[in-house]
Amino acid sequence: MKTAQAPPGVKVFLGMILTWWFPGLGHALLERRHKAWFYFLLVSFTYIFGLWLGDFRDVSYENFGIYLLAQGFYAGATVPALLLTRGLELDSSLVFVDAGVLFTSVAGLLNVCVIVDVYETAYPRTSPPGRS
Amino acid sequence: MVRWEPLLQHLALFVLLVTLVSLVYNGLRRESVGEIVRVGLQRAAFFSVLSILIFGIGGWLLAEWL
Repeated sequence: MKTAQAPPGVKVFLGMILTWWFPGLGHALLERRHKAWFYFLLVSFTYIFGLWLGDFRDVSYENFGIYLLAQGFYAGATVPALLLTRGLELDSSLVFVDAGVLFTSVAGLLNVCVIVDVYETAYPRTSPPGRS
Repeated sequence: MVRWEPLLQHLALFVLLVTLVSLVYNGLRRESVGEIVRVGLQRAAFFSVLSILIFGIGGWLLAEWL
């Protein structure tokens, strides 16, 4: 249910699109600056740490095509990673490349949660969740 | 013979991943960052210990059986 001070739908939609590219930007648009920084730092750390684990070879259409579906939910990191690392090849055995793919994919999927939270922040439900 | 170094490395990665997921997921429908961090870390610790027990004991039993 929408509250009386709910922001306009266009603003919320824009916030969700911005979050797809940069986690937290939608929350910043809704004036939740602490949460914006929190999400940006967490999701970006997860993604960059995953890239580092995979020696920057784990965002690749040729080698890990299916994982791009998940990584693509953080477009602001995946698009530059694809462009900047396309010259790198998997020419040696990397111990943590699978873990790196996992971390970058999870970062993308976590950003889906952040996108959903932009909507939930704009239009909070009236009944509280069953939490302590 | 157990190779401790890779085991501990993967264990640390697992705990880190659970913690990151828990922190983001518990941010849903919560406003205060302090509360998100507190609840997120508590639940991350719980699920890390629980899953290490389940997968650890299960994996050990499987290895013994095979």
